[in-house]
Amino acid sequence: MTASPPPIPSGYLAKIAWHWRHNPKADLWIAWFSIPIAYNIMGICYFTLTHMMPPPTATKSQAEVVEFLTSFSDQIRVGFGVMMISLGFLVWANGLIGWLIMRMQVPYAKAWGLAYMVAMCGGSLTGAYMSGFTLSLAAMRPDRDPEYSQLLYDVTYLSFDGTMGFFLFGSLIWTVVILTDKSRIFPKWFGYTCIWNFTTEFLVSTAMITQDGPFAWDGTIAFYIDTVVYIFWQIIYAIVLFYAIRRVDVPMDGFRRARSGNVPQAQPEIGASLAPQAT
Amino acid sequence: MASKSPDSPLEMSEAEAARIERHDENPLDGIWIFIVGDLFIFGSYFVTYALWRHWYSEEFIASQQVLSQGFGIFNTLVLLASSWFVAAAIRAQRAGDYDAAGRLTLLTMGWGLTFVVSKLTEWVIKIREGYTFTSDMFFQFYYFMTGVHILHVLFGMLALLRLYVEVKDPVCRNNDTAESCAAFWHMVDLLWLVIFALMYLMR
Amino acid sequence: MSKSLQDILLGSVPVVGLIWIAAFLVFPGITPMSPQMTAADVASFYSDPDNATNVRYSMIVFNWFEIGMVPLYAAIAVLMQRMSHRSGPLSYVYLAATLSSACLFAAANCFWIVAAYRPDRAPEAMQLLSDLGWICFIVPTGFLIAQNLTVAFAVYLDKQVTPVFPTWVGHFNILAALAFVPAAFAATSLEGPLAWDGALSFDLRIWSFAIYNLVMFLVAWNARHRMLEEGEPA
Repeated sequence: MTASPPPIPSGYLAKIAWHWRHNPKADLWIAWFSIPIAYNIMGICYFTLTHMMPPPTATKSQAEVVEFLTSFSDQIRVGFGVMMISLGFLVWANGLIGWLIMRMQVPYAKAWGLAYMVAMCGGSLTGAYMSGFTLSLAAMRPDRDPEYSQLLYDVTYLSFDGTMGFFLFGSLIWTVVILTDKSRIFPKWFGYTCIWNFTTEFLVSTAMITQDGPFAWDGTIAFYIDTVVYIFWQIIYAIVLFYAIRRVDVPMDGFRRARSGNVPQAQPEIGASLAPQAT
Repeated sequence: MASKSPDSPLEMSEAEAARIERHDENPLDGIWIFIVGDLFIFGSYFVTYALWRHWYSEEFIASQQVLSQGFGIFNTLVLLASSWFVAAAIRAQRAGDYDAAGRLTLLTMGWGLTFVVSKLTEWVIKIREGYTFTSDMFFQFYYFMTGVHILHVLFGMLALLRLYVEVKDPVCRNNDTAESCAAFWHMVDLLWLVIFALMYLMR
Repeated sequence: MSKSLQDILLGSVPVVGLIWIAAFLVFPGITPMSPQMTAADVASFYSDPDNATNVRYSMIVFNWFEIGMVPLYAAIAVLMQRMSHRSGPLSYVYLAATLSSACLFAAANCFWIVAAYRPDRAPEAMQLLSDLGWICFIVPTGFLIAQNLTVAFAVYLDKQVTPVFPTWVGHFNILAALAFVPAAFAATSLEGPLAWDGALSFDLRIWSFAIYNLVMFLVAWNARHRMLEEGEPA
């Protein structure tokens, strides 16, 4: 057993340095911080630069699509450049949540966690990357045959809204494990809010059918209400995750034990068959 | 970040641990947050519907004539009956009559299933008559709102199933679950009443 | 088990790497197509039987082996689980990120195969397919960056007596992540170093990817064999 870590110093930078060196959950906190940072960068890009949110109307004629692409060409391309980088960090958020699910007291917790990770990471391929490729390609050559510009335009917004199954199952998995979890890493009421997120994925399917009105991809119901619910849920999610990391029990391997001082040794985790290496 | 109670897998105070212990008795804990939020979301759908109905009132009124009020009234009665049954189930459970509570819960689910079947029949009839989702704006709202509502009926039936399992288990049964479940089921009923009024009655 | 069989997993990596290099030399990538080519130029490029043959066969080879680097990444993920935060989320994040980049490479591969399949298509369509292939190939570096930073953090947090990877591997991963940044902006310009045939988006990206895989292979090989010598379970 090693000595307790030094007390937390005052001062902003010193505190960060202390947590980097001594916090037993440093890797979890790094993953957590990717959520507010990456989601904010993405949100700003989506709303100000790339014109994905709020989306332009689906009823644009080919000439209007070309005009839209010409006038916002630079914004869209720079915006998606930033997005392409920040999107990668969503994997961290998904990994963190999947890992927390593995720590729950649920039968097959590990499998649930892996299923969550696979579902959410897969969704980002068509839900975020595909739309980025097609819209930045369309904006890159606005002088393309207008028919193909419109094709790319449709692919962009339909793949963006149309990646429903991945996120639907991700939220469904999260709902089920929270509602059946006995360890209460996440509060039960948060499980219900996941049902909203999962329901919004159902409801956006109308955007695949209609081009105009409240159910189109820029419609009141399919876009605005869904987005408000989603952003509201996203804020709750970040806060709830923050408290979940604070209360979750990390497996006490050598690293965490050395960092958390004289905490009694927990049962070694299944699979971690190595002898803990005390520093 | 030392654990306050070494026996517990979580880092929490004793009061918090006790609270969690108590709340675990109710697997539907926190349903009120869901109900309030759901009412907000459905409220926003209703406002959207009202706006579009105001803007395209002639089209909407013409299409509303097509809906069969018989189905609407039948579905309303079915859901009202189911609400009465779930209330009776709670009363039985509070009185300690768990057999009756289980039976009444099953009957509530039966009414819920009747609602789903009748609603889907109505859909099939409408689609056969040529009124599909893309027919006009009213039918978009009609299929959307009734569809979301059916989804909630199905959620409610899952909750009722959970309640039934608990009522049958002498260790787990508790009034909190029953009340949470009934609250949700009443909300489902309430939403249908609003949909019924907006779509079938307001012509 | 015999000693040589224990190394099949990592031993496959240089083989796949050599196949990738060979396919890359055949592929038009060694002199990347300029984004300034007109639609007619693109169409005539794919109509040229020599080019079409090169594209087809190199893409078939890439298609066979596009997931072939995953054993290396899986081995690194397992090594990450032996670092001091052992079963934390970082190793899962690493594996998920590698899978995502492989999928996007497969998408690019598919677009190029389609372009070479029927080169007598309308020139505009040929240009669209070719563009889609190039953008899926060059631009999606976010996952690679996330992957590199994950390893970097894991290495920096590894405070064991003998860390799994030496600290310079962390610095190296940060450097590689920085080298992948410009490629994400390849769609912003049709010419110059940022365009997808430019020095920053193409050469820097391809070379850093190659060097990254080579270095990580050597590091992973060393770490694994050190562990085997120390008698840890293989």
